[in-house]
Amino acid sequence: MSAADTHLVVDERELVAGTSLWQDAWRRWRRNRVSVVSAVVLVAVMVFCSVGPLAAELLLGATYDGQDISLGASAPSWAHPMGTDVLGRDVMARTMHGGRVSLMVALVATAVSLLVGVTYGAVSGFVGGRVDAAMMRFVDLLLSTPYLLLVIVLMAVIPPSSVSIGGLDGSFVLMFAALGLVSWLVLARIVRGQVLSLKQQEYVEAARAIGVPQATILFRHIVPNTLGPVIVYSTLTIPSVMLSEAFLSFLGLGIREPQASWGTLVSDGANAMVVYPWLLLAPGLTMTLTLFCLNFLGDGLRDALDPRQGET
Amino acid sequence: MSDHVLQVEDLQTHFHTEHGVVKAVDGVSFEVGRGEIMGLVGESGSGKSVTNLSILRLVPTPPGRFAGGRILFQGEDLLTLPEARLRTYRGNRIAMIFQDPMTSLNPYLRVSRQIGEVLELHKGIDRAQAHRRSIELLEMVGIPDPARRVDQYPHEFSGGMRQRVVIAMALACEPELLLADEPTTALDVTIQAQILELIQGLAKELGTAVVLVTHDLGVVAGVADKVAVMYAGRIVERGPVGALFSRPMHPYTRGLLASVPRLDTRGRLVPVRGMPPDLTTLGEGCAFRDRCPEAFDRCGQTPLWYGTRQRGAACWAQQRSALTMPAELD
Repeated sequence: MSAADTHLVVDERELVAGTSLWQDAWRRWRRNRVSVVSAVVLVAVMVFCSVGPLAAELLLGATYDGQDISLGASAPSWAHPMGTDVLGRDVMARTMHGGRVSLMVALVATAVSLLVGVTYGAVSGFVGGRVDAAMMRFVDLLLSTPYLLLVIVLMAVIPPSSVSIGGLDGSFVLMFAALGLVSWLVLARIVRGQVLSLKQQEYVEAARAIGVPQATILFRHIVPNTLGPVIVYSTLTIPSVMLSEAFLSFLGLGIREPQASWGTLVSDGANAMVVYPWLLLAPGLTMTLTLFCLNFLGDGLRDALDPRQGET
Repeated sequence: MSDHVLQVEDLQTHFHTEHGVVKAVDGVSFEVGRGEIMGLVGESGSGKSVTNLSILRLVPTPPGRFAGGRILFQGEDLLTLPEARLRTYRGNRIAMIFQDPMTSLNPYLRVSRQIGEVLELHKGIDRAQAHRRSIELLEMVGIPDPARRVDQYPHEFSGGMRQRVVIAMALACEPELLLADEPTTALDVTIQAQILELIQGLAKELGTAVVLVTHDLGVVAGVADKVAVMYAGRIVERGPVGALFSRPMHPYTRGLLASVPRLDTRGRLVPVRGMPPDLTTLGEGCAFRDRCPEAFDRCGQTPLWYGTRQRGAACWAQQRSALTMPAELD
């Protein structure tokens, strides 16, 4: 009885205090256990990939590029928990190291597609008319150019050495640029389509009728309503971007040996699957786990960001 | 007359489409005074909603175009007002209520934010003050437990309650002019009566001038002080509500009245036969003549206004009968 009362009081205080969409979403999201667990796992994977290599080097003396030909491809052991590859490199260290590249690729692609894609699509759909037509033809142009050609041209035009930032290899930077360049295109189209239908809604007309400036209408009243499809699409983009990176790397356009990413590790591992299964399993399972969690997280976020989802 | 809050003079709103120019509003004039409720009636496509939207210049241009006329709001022509200036009027001095409460609230924003938005925009008050004022407004429009309800989302409200929220939004800045576009069409009858009573009460208390666009003659009879009947972009008859209902002058008005079911008289309902005309092919002559039971050869010419600015109709038949019997003018 008193417990129920306390609960009610707490709820009401939250209701009065939190007024932004994000605060509400946060409150709803915390109730979604699967999504929260997924987020925790994702954070763990990130820690594994960022701090892991250092720890592995200190504790096990294993680095991603340290070869020990005498070991050959050895099965998992205490010294090498995920085994070693044919050159005797520690697979766990390589998986952790590869995770950095893959997660960074995912992050860059998602950030670009959210920032550029959503803004571009929203503006295009909202302004409409000739501006919309011109903006969308540009997207069509980029979409219809073969992606690979685009990357090769990009790399041919810009010498990789000229764009190296800090410790990052130039070809690495170019690959990010190439992935960023194409990752926002489809999202821009999706958002534009959403905005086209949303701007016909009466509440947009109503916002106009109370004198809300155009930009505020777009970003306060329309864009939040597109978040559902945007988040779902973003969670679908991440695996495909990771695979694109693996593909580019496979062609020698992305990262190069002894550098590694999950994509390259998996494709290398797949070749030796029958003889040395751990070469595929270690990076494969890590990647699968990550993608799984991303999907659950995305689902949870979508539900949390939609106030109409049951809050009973 | 300078005590009119709104004075529309010869308004012409045209749409340029692939099929030609649609004269959705073609020379409409009317005026509304303080605390006065004017009903603007007509069937779908008669131009009544476009008239309303034109007042706030919410008609998309292009394809829309204001081809002529003036809309004087407190003596200022809204059609030539700079957009930025007009924006400070919207929701502040002139408010609008939309037809469908289910779609006129943003599902992603709490009710407090939507009402608060108007206040923050026009009254320059902060969020906390806006929140408090929102509660007062919800209370005013008769929403029970407003302190709790104000922080809910639109989907947690019923249709009638949402329309109250919409009205609360419209009244937030105590506008001098309220444009209501079929405010009760989407609601069931008992709620309709409550909402209309609310609008009527506010017009009297706050002195708000109201333009009530509707196709429901019952609504007009209940709350309006005067009525203008629109057909094919023009006002075909106008008058005080009592006179117009008891002695309609235009055959179209008579047709509309005959097609409304009544509890106090028996008999068949007579619909207005035919369909509204295609506005792209409208030429010379009375737009209603193809459907008019009283049409005669004269109707091939565009009818002149017969009567005064307060009471009259645009119909040749009126003028013909006026030759034989005294006109009933109030």
